Amino acid sequence: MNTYTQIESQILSFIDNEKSGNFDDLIIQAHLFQKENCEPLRNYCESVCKEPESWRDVPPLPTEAFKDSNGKIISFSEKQIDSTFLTSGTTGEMKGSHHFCNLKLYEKSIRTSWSNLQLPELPLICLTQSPTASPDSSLIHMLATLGGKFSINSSGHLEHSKLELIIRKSKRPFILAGTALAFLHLFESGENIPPLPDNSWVMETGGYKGSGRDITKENFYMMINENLSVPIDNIINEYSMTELSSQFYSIGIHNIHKGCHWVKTRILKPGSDEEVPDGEIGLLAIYDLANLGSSVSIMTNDLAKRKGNAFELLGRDKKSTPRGCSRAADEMLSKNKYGHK
Amino acid sequence: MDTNKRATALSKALDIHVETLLKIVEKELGHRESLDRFVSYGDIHTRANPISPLLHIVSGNTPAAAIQTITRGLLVGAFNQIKLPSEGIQEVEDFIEKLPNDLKSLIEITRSREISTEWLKSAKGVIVFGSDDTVREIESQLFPNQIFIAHNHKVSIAVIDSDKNKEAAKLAALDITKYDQQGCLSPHDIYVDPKEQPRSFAAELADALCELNSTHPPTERTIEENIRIDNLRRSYSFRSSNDTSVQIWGSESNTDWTVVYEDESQFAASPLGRFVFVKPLPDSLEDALNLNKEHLSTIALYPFSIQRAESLSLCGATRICPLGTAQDPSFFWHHDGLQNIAPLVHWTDAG
Repeated sequence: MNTYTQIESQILSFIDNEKSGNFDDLIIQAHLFQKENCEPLRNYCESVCKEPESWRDVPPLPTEAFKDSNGKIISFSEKQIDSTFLTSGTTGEMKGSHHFCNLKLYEKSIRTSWSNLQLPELPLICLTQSPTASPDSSLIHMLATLGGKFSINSSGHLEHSKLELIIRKSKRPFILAGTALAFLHLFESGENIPPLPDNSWVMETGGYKGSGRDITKENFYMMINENLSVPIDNIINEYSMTELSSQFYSIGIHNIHKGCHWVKTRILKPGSDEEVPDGEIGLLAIYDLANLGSSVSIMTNDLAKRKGNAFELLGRDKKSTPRGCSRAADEMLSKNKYGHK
Repeated sequence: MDTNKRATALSKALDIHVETLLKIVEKELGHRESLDRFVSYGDIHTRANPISPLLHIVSGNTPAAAIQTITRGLLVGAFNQIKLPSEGIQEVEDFIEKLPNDLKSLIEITRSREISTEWLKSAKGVIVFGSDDTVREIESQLFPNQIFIAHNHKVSIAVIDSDKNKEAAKLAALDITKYDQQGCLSPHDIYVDPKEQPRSFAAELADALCELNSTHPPTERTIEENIRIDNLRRSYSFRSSNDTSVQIWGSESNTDWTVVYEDESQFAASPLGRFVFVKPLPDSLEDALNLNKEHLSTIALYPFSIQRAESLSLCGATRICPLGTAQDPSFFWHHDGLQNIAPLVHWTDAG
């Protein structure tokens, strides 16, 4: 069996050039490597599936596995842990931990997704803390990898005057990025927000379910349009999870989420591992080659509608446990009364 | 119609003995004719008058509770405005269809999403079934002089002390299967005395649920319900593959039924839909229920005895019943520990 470094090298090449390898072969190789080196994952996979013949046979690991304190989901030794991102969790709930021995695949995936999907190459201003202030956040690390500048200080307050100055002084368009809740807090702050320069974009992520907010995506995008003068077709939704290393993006309303060639999805019928027919709703399972250090197959708690080999994200069931980066931001921002010390 | 005629008509629609309904009136209002004439009350006379109109806001997953609250309103002679969920409740509509016109004329139904402001304002009493959020939302719209009776979410458990006749698993399966475990009365967790080998009981319960499921499969569930079950199943499948203190049984290729055995005795909430936990009965059930104590409705007990019910009543349950009858409360039960008829009347004294 190949070593971690050898498989990592093959996946890095595959991310760069789809023709350098085969998704099926790589994911099975990575899965077998993970089974060999991660006992909790091995035990689970052996209890639900025999040897997989195709990527579709690899059992998706429930995200609860990342919360298990008895065994870490890592395919390398504990001594090699270099970075750890934590799920936000709710008060009293155990947080999930996604460990990495290095961030080569993670950062490669972030940068290459952005360019492969032809997302706008513009300066990125973020309604989040910096990686130094929030080193456990995978979202913030992703934004930093994309070259983001951060507008929330270490105590969790939006530096509103700084943001206003950036907007007013900017002669070039840029991307304003943040969680959906951060945008809502910004709009509800009562502070004057100048329109963004022409051809600017917004990237929102995280949703707001479980926070007590009940706003449709249409209304939310209208709010962005009204408050920031950004056309709805210039709004990007980023979808990912702490337990993953790759991202999906959609632009505007009702569009499918697109990922890159090293990521595939299945929409499963609840209670089984069968895929739902095209156009039907089920549970989203994600197969991500960049997740070599943990599990290449992840079962999300999100509902999605199957659209061929892609999906339309419907989000989390309102009654399931609230979680997500957005939720943590909401708690923090509500506590700090956004912008007021 | 006097009380006797109303009770007679209701008993026919419900297929119960008229005496049951008259006894409830007698027990809660002191005399079975209290609603018809002045009756002796200490050194005075008094008569009960229905609080009317009553607004019943009922939920779709508890048809039995909906029928009971409408029955009580009709029994006291009130006019009843009923807010059904938009998809309706077939059992309620079938029940109303069986009533004579004199009682039907005391009923008005809506299935619209919003409750009309007119109904909310004009109601003298409001009875609501729903989540804490729904209850708070309705209450915030009421005036102080309106009677408000709230039945918010509750959970139930079962306790099995011994099972010499080897029938407890089948009885528990009935409680879990009926109404697809919806409502507040079906057990989330079954606590089994350790000497009865709770893990073996869980396997027996899985067999009983499988058998019952073959003749009584669940009616259609929403995708959200199925997904909640699926999420929890997968989490417990992971745990059971890595932790011998957990074991899971479930229907194949669907979410029809699920049994999880756990050594951990702390209460775990089920997503419902025939998903039940089996746990060893701890020395202190009160501690295991912890925060859920104030939300505890029913303890289904096997074998049932009043002596054992005395000790379990300390846990905060408002009802302790024999296993197998959790979803079929007596008409005499105190719903959520409250009187049912008495709050629906006001009194006029004479003398």
